[in-house]
Amino acid sequence: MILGKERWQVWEEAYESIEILEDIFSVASDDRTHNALLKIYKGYFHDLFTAIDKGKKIVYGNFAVPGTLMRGFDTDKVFWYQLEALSVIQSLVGEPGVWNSKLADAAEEGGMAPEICSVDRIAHGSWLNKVVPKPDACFYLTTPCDSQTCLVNNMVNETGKPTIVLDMPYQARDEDIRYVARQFRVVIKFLEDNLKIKYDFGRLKHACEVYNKMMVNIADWVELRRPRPSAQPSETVSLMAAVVTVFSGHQSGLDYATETLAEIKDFQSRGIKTVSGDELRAIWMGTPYWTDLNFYNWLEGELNITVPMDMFGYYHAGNLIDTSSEEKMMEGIARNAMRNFPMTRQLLGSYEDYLGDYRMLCRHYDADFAVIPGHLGCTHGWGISGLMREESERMGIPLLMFEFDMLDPRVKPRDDVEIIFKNFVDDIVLPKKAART
Amino acid sequence: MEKTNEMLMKSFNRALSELNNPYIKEAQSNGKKVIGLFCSYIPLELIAAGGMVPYRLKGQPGKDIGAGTTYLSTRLCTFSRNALSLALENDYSFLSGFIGNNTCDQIRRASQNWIIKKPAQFNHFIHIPRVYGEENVSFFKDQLIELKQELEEWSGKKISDDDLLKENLKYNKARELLRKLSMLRKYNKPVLSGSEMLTISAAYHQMPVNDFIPAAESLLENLLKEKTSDKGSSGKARILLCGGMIDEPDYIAFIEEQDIDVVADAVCFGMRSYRDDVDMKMDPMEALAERYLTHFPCPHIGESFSKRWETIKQVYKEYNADGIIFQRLKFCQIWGVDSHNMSGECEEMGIPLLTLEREYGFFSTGQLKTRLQAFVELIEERKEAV
Ligand code: SF4
Ligand code: SF4
Repeated sequence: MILGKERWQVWEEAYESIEILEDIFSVASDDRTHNALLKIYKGYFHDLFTAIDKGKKIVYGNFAVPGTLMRGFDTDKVFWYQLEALSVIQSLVGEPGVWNSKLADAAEEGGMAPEICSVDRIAHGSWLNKVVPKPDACFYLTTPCDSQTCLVNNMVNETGKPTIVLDMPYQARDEDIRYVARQFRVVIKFLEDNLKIKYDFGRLKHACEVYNKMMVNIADWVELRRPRPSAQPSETVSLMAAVVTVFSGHQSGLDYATETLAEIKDFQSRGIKTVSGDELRAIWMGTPYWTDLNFYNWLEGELNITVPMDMFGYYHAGNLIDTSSEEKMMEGIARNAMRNFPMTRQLLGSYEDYLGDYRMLCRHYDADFAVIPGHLGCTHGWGISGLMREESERMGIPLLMFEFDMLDPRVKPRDDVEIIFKNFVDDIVLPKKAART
Repeated sequence: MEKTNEMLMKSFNRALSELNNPYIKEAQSNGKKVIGLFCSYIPLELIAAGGMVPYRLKGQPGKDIGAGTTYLSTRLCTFSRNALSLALENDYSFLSGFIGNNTCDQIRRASQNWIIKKPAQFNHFIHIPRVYGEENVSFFKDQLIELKQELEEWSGKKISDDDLLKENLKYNKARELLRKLSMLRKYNKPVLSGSEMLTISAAYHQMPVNDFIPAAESLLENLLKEKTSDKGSSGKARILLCGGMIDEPDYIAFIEEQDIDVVADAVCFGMRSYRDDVDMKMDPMEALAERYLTHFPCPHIGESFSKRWETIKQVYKEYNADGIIFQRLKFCQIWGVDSHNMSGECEEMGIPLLTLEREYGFFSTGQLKTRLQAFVELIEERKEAV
């Protein structure tokens, strides 16, 4: 039974799903990724409801707030709640789309424009429906997009709680990183003053070390996803963003990264293959198919398609946080928030951030084709679609682009997406591959 | 529009008559370079101080937006697609320079596509912070210094503090004139219509300030002379127009055909661009950074609703408005929550609010007419009830 005095049905259901899934997956002891994910999300629920029961200070943030930075506050006193956490949990372990669709509708009924990204509509809907804990203070970032800025504008106006917003610049040059680091200082001071709780750089140092270890593991895993045939399911790639955004600097994030790395090593050593036929590799350049993770299994089973890497699953260990001084830690967190964080890394700045990653991923993972799952509200993703098509032509990589919504399955039912993939593979990918060989 | 106004408005209509308007052509024939920019957050003064003409990019109603849509998809607003189409099809080839920015994602992507597909001789991209605290103003100043240096390098002309001070003063003068003209809408029978005022303020962004100032002075002088005795009341509903980017006076003219006077606005081609001045006592670059980042904000600033709403309320009162029309282009996200935030506030204060979603340069007259008429009726009912 779920902890906590506040028993919102939406959370109850998600928690029950986790327990059911735990029963299912625990039988397969080699399914280390799933078991690790369920464990850390269950832990998250416990932490959240304990926080509410114990009257800890709750700080709201949007998803791009670097978790590592927040760990400098004593977790016995402060709980950092990301506004998008509920929608992600619902997608990954809940009934696809049921609650998320309801919450998105609630935001629209409340006056939020339907074109705004569903991530933000759902976050606002959960606030309007009062299924999230009330904050004591809020700290938001203006990244990665207009939709997030809209959410911030709404929340600032509605919570009436002390709020600080941090500006994320367009580029990530040294001066930009120092600018963000300086703003972190202002944020810490602001939260200290408003929560009446001291920030502890010793704790931060520990969190940075945990973050670094997590990143090293993830970077190793990123490399191990390269060899053909793919040994670990595609779905695993889509989960990494859900871990990095919530658990950076937290032991849970490190535990997950350790397990998923061990899993891929194990599968490779045992010669496991995710598809039995001739593998078709797709680079997934956009938001994951979170409304139904089974879709990836269908791609593998029906069409021999694997996703060795996607846009939000890729991280590198080139920016590990230097923990030698407070300043260096601030800058290290800033650098990672800008250059090693899903959505912000690819979408906040120049077109080259996105195209550069696209080229790199196609080469690095030996792609047979690429997919742009056009998440409806992601205007800056759409705004680069023409250049992406041209880049694909230059690289000779077939590109499949289709409309869908990462959190709301009503936009494009899975059956329709399946047909789109089938036709694309039959009409374009296979003939092209045959012509090459 | 009354006959006399039509004559007095000639200069401003000329500035909007075509993209490469007669003022721009003349400036170019005098060796001036014209620099296109997208948004009210880029200091016009800085460009003018470099001996160039700042030109705020607008769309062209009726333009086929296929070219822009190819690059931006159908999911972006029709203004960004319209403007990019104009660039891709060489309608903006008269510009020597282009400054892109990231006040919104759609303009950011349109700017980037522009720079790649149709680069001007001078291309620059500037980050406009989404927060306006002290730290951010100082960072914005650094961005402006970078822009200044690149302009200097490209044009071969140093921009001195004196140049900046001169232009800051000149633009303050232009803004003061705009404010005075706008105030003529305070009369019960407004001396200028909302569409005329948008024509004037859009022209301010489309012509050299040296041409704008005498034209605006002469208009003001004439209107003051001829019209101040114009008492009485138009009897129409007095509306404040706010919301996203709008550069189409025809849209406002249509609203005004439905028994409405648009007596005030809070849009970026309108009052948002001329309500605040540059502080002449500060260091000129610092003053520009301060003025441009912290002026009457649009929601690209992530914590700006309360400041925007405070100012809108003030303007609403000053202009004795009866209701608010909030308009927004479909797919414009940054303005996609303001009507939500405003609706609660308006309800509390008993302010009638109409929210309109539109496409750039195009409107379905039948539907719009019905909604406007219903809104006017609502306003009348409320007035009667009081
Ligand atoms: S999917 Fe796109 S629009 Fe949605 S939060 Fe991410 S970057 Fe923003
Ligand atoms: S509404 Fe804001 S972002 Fe859009 S053009 Fe105007 S000032 Fe720029």
